[in-house]
Amino acid sequence: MTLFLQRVFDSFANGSAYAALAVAISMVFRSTGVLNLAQGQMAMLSAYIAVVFAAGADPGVAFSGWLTPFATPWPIWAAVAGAVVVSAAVGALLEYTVIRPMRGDPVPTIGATLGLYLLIGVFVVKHFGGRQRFLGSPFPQEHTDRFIIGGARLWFDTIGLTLTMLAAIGLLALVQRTTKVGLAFRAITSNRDSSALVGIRVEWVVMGGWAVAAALGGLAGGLIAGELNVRPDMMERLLIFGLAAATLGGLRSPALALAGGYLLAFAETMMAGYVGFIDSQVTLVWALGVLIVVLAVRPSGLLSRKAARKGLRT
Amino acid sequence: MTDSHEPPTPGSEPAVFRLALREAPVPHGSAAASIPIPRAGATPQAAESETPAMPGKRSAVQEADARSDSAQTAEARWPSRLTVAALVAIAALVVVVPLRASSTFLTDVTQLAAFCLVFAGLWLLTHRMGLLSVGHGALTGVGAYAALHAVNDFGLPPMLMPLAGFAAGCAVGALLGIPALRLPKAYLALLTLSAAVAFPIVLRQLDGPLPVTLDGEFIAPTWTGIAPNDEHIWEFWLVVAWVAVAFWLLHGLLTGPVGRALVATRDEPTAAATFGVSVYRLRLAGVSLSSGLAGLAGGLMLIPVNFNDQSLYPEELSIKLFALTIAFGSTAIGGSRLIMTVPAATVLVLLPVWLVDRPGWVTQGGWIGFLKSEFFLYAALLLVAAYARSRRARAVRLYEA
Repeated sequence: MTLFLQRVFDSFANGSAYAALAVAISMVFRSTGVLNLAQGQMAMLSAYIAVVFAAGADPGVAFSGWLTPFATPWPIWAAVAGAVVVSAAVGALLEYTVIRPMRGDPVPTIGATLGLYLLIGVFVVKHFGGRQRFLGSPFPQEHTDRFIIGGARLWFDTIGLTLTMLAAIGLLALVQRTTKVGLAFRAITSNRDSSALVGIRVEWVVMGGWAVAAALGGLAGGLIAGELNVRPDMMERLLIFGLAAATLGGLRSPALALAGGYLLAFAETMMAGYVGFIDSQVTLVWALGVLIVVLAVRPSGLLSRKAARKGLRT
Repeated sequence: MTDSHEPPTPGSEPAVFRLALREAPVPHGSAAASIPIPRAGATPQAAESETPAMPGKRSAVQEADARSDSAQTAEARWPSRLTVAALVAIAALVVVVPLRASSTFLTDVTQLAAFCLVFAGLWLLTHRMGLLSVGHGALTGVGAYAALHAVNDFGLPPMLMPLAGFAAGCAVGALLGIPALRLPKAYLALLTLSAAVAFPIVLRQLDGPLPVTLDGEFIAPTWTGIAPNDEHIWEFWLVVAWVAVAFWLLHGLLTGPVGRALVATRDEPTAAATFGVSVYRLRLAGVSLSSGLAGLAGGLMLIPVNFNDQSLYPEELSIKLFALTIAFGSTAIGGSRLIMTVPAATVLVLLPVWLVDRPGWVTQGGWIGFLKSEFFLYAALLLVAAYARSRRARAVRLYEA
């Protein structure tokens, strides 16, 4: 039981990252129909930006020379926050320069997101090298910073990460429901042409959607960097799990994508823990299996059929 | 019904009435700009019909008439001059290169020939069916794995092992296609990308971290006159023969009713369904065939290389394949012709070789080295090709509206 509880706790950190990526992916997809395959790489870039901020003016880290006015190393929470802001700007810029000229044509758009996937990867390898970098966690990580629940350790770090992610996603949902900008976003998700006709600046809202999605992914990248190390390929696994989780929500429901993220992380930890022949690498394949089965059995994800039909028509 | 979620193309309705799959020509849909009209490539009418943005577009009825006239003559079946020239050039190269080239280079060229088949599969999927696969590198790996184990564990003659690769590719393609094809097109890209990332991990789990060697050799028969230590020449011709036969069969398939039906499922799925084409099944068959071609190529890879390894089919390979498919074989470069798979494969195989021969290029520091790196070149290619393609699609839409 203790071990089981421990594994449940362990899955929270990964689950938060999967959920954040899944929410970002489904947010972009439902509003614009663009499947952003570069979402994971954008989050990885964000983790590197956080490394730069946290390093201060370290000649061993590329671009840190640009920070000369703020040369002292930033605290990690500030570095992550800075990375989130820069990520949002990068997301908006990429939407404006790369995605918008494709005009929603599916083949070129997917091609463009894959181009970004390669471009960000090669950019990072070029400037930061292929080796691992270390970025601590913004939360206390001493070996005494934990609760003991039923004999299992729940680290403050895990709690902080999970709560931050949930708070960010919750804030996003709140903004969508209560503010005018959120209303505009929901309007273009529902019907893009009509939204334009009633005076919503669709292009601005879409750009904002990309920025927010990139910021969310960036937050996930910056926070999970305390768990994983910062590597150019750190997000590959996360992207696959994020895509799978987004699929559970039919690529259209951020709430289900969020649940799907935690569910997949939970299942992943359990598989790796209890099924002998599955080691932690192969759980990725298991995620792929889940994807195939879910799509085959319930193509709309966990949405009800009616909701799915409604969603697909828009 | 299958595609009710996708917005209808503006101005597409009349095409419903002009689409008669067995007799009428390929419809001028938005993406039909990229189709060479089969059997009439050299006639001036065909040249006109390949550029639908021109104001002088003839009506579909006129075109159907012209086709039924010209289809009677043998001349109309003749491929275009460019294609003939390319085929002659390739044939000449196939004879000359093995006799001149070093064995290392010839091994590269043998792989190049096999990659032509992967590109043929991708070309079918992307340009004929309007679907996206980002996992053909992994499917090639599946074919190589199946072919190798068919020989090592089940005693299949090495000469026939590409067939095992073909079967495995078809099966995995169907496995990915069955769920993905009932959903928006993005799902196939999503599933195939996942497969591309997962494949090296699966292979390491199945085969272990070390390369697995093929239990078989390809020794040239004495009638070929190839010296015993020149077996790479024999291997090259063997692969080329497989590829040529596969291309011939594929070309025959695609210029017939099946090919037209595939194009119809791309441009006018509703109309195709009305005319009795089962859109989902035909797409599934197409995806399966496309994956099978990649698998066949995977089996052929083993002929020159003789071993299989997790590092041979990383997910970057799949992305590179996709990039080159978008760039070549659409109307951007060389028109939508099957033959354009050859330059695409040439770039894929010979670009790294060419870069390695330029040590200054690869090791250069700073932004210059970045701009000259292979992945940057591919990223730029993808972005530029995607942009060009969307521009063209928009031009066609505006013209039709």
